[in-house]
Amino acid sequence: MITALAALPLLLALMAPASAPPPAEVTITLVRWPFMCTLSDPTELLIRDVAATLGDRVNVAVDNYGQSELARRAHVERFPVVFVGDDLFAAPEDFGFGANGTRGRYVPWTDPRNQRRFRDDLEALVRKRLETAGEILDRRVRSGGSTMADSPVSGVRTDRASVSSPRRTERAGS
Amino acid sequence: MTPFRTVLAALLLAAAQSAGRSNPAVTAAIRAHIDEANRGSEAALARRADRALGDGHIYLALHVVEPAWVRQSAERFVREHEKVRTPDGFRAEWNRVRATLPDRAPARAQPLLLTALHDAARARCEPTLNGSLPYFEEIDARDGLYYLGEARALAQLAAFYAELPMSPAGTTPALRSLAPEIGELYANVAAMHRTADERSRTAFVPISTSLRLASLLNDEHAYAGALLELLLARYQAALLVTPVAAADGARERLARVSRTLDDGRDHSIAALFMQMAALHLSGALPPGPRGAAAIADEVLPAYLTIIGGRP
Repeated sequence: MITALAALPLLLALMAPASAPPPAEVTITLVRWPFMCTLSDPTELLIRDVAATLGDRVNVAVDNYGQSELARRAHVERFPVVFVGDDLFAAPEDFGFGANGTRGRYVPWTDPRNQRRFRDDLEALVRKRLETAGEILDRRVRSGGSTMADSPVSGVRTDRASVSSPRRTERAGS
Repeated sequence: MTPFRTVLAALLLAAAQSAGRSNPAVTAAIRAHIDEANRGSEAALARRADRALGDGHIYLALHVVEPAWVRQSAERFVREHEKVRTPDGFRAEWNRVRATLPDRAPARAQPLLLTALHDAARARCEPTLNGSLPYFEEIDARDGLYYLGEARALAQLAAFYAELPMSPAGTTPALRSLAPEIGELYANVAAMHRTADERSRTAFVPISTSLRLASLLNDEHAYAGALLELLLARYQAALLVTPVAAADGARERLARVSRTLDDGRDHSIAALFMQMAALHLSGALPPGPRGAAAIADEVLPAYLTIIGGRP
């Protein structure tokens, strides 16, 4: 009787239908000034557009400036900051708020072409992450492995940001 | 007493008399104080608040005067603390402001709009306070002080709303999580933003902020505030797409919606938008009647669907 009970979990596992692998997920995290901000708000909308385009496998998380563990670990002291997974994707200086204020991949940030470039860069990286995660998942399902590594993908930033003061913005309703 | 405090005190008196019309003498006093307090950058808002009060639109007056009051109060805080230069000095002020953070909910029963305004002000306090400290230390001392002043102003504003002696405008409608509506609008607005030109992209900033606040409030189950911010986002988004031709007949469509609101429930949140629509129709609030159409065709139907009315 005891032997039969001990074997029960194994029997149940064998009888259970093969479950679908859990969806691969990539989390995009934005560290932003908490409320109205001409830097942070366009960034959040572009990130949400990427997430909406790529579907349920992409999560969006938003951390308030001064309260972000990811930013603290990356030694980024300003905003906006964008992470893909745990990796720094865009630092404040990329938006034109570095010490010189005039350089940066997406400067000037108000130019729709630069916002489009940011969106396209982000989408490309997240797609790559999803593909990588999917391949790992496939291998895991085939091999019966039990872990999924979130392997780094080229394109992420690791340098420390140093940026100038963003502009203050106004509250809605004005 | 500062001019803005005087204005708010007068608003309180006006609100105490009725949720609808204000006493002409109080209105005149408020108008004088708004004129005095808002010379300069806030003059346009002051005129708008003044007009709303003159029309007896207390909800609209509160909504319009809020950002002007917060900015003035924050700027005053900076002036009062211009000698604060060191992190230790800032932290001392920071702790003083932190001690004033408002409670979760007003103690008294009020119109749903006041609950929503209170929730929205309260929810902005702590993140603004927390952001002010690294801002002072890492980015810019004066702006750090400004945001600390803004946090103080928001705390005072929340207390002001909580203390307004106004009675509920009816039975409270059943409220629920707005996560589906917030998520849908986020996706729609993000798609609109993708194709917008540079000039119109600035209009998406307040939409994004209202959605963010709606999301935060919804996560806290502060559904009145979430509803208000969701509808403000929807209103601002609708302004971007509502055609000029939609203004035709907007007055009649608003009147039809208004009749559906006469069901004994507290529709003070909808009343704010009705008052905004009236100002649009008068031409005193840009973009004029087209704004009233946005409210009639987008905002109020969404409101009615959410609270279980007839869209």
